[in-house]
Amino acid sequence: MSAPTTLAEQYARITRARDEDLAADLLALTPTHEGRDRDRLRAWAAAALRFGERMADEDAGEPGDTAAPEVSERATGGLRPGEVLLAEFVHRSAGDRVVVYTDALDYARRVARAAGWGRDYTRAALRETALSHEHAHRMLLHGGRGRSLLRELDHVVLSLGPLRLRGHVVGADEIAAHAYARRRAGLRRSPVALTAAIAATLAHRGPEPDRTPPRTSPGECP
Amino acid sequence: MTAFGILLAMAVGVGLMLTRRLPTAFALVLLSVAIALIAGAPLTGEEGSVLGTVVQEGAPRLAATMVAILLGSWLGTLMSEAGIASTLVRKIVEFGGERPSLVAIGVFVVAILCGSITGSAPAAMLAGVVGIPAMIAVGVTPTVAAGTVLVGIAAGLPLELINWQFLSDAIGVPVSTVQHFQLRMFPIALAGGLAYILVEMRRKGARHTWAVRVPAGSGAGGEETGDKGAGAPPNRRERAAERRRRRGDAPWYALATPLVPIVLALGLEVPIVPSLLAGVVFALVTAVPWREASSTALRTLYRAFDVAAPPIVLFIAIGMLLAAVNLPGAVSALTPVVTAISPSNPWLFVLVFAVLVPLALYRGPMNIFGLGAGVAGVLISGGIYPAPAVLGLMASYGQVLGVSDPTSTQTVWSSQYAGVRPERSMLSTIPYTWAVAVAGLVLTVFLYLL
Repeated sequence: MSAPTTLAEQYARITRARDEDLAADLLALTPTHEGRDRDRLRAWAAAALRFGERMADEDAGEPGDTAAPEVSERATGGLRPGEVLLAEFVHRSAGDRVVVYTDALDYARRVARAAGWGRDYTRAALRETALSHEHAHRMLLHGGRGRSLLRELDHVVLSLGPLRLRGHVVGADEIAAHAYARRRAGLRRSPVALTAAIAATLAHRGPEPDRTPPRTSPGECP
Repeated sequence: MTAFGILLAMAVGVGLMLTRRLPTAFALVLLSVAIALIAGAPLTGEEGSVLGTVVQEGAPRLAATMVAILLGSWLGTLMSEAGIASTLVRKIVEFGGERPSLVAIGVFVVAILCGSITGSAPAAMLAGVVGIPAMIAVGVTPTVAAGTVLVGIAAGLPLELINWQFLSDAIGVPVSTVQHFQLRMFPIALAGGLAYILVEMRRKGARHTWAVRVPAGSGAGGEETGDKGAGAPPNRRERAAERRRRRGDAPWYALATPLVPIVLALGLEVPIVPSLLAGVVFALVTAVPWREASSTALRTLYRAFDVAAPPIVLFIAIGMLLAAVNLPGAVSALTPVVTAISPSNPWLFVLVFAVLVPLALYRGPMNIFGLGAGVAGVLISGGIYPAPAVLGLMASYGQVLGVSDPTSTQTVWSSQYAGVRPERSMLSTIPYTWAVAVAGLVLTVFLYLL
């Protein structure tokens, strides 16, 4: 079977694909994973997805966050040449900060509509997904969840007798954050699929065949 | 009047380079001819002529450097194709991925090793192709990720054998003198680089995003041009990546490749060319299957010519510029002017040249890989400073332009690959590189001017 070439075919392929395959695709795009076995990437993707979902379930039963980060919205800066930045979480000693880029969320909404997932990704749902995604990163950074993810992935890089040193898997935290956000926002269609669809539009220069690529002014970048 | 004419020609040359009306190498060749003519050199003749002395003898003046560049590029290309640099980065990320600062320091060390083998954009690519996205993925901000690779390459510069040969040829001091200064400069550059990473990581914090970038090889940006159909043949980079995929990670003992030339040159006092050749042989023997060794060696050597072409062209032009400013007419005209404005007090030397640091940026007149080579030639031929002091001055400035100059190829490549503007990299790194340059000037005073 030949690879899908039009944007519509790409959307259809993404709609049919399983989350763990799409997540494995995302991992494969990282230069650190160049040459990794596909089955291994798929196993890591599945483990990270499971971990993110479990994190969401556990989080639902926990009391509210007493030291919530400062959240702000920016109307521009999310659409950069060759990049769509939906949200970012910055961890500093002075305090954590989350920024949501509404121009990028609007772009993502257009992509979701074009892919046929418009009912899932309303403006409010997208915002909640972005905030949940960054909240997951914050949870992974604080309080030992990052180490739990390492154990879940079980990527042994050094083994000396009974001692096993587990290595970091680049991109796995991202997959876990997507799974967490999906569960928290109650989405039928995973943000992993939305991410893959946005990547397809960047490769095809725009969410719809007649659209120009996102080229607004580059926003503030830390 | 002659001095005024030469200075005016130099100002026009800087203008042509700054405004990118002419490539640096072409501007330097024209400038060399102009300086020679203004200095009263005859067009032809055996001694001190434009065509004979400046063009014919000047062009191969830095020949030893050019050979070293080619061999360094060969070793760099081989390290890239054999996956040596990417394996190093991958291991660092696997071991230290939870702590962004640790990963950044690891990539910094890899960049030092790459910078000690080859310079400019090829060194940045060696460390950065995997290192920059890996750093960003673990939470390092894009600006600091690009800056980390750049300060790493600059910290490797004092150990780079090609750079030793260039400074030796351009300034006219023995390689042992260059080695003497650069080995003392290395800890300063190392400390400056580490300070950059630790302070900037603390200032900027760790950053995690939900972001989507153009997929590599999609044809929608990056270095690829035009959309590729499904059946299009793979390009050279994709073929090299495919070969790396088939081979997997480089074996652990191959990871010592970048150390081979340095150990030979420093520890065993082997000359530069055989040291670099030994590095090539070591990489081939340890990282490439035996049956592919000869074809890989030849393929990477040919690719190295592509990589080495821009600096070699530049060094041909610098050789001509050095020949021009050393013509008797130019020396006698420029010496009184340069003597009048050059501080004789050692501490004034530090102060004045510290203030002039920005002149090394944007292909300015203190850029040793441009007009700065001519300035160095005038400072030495006029007897204003001893040659080792000029070496110290230019090596100190080299730390600034190697990291912070937004027109340097490594700065442009690293910044754009990280998704930030080169000017942002300059603003982020210049406080640190400026401090390193001032420390280098102080070192110069202690070593050669007191």
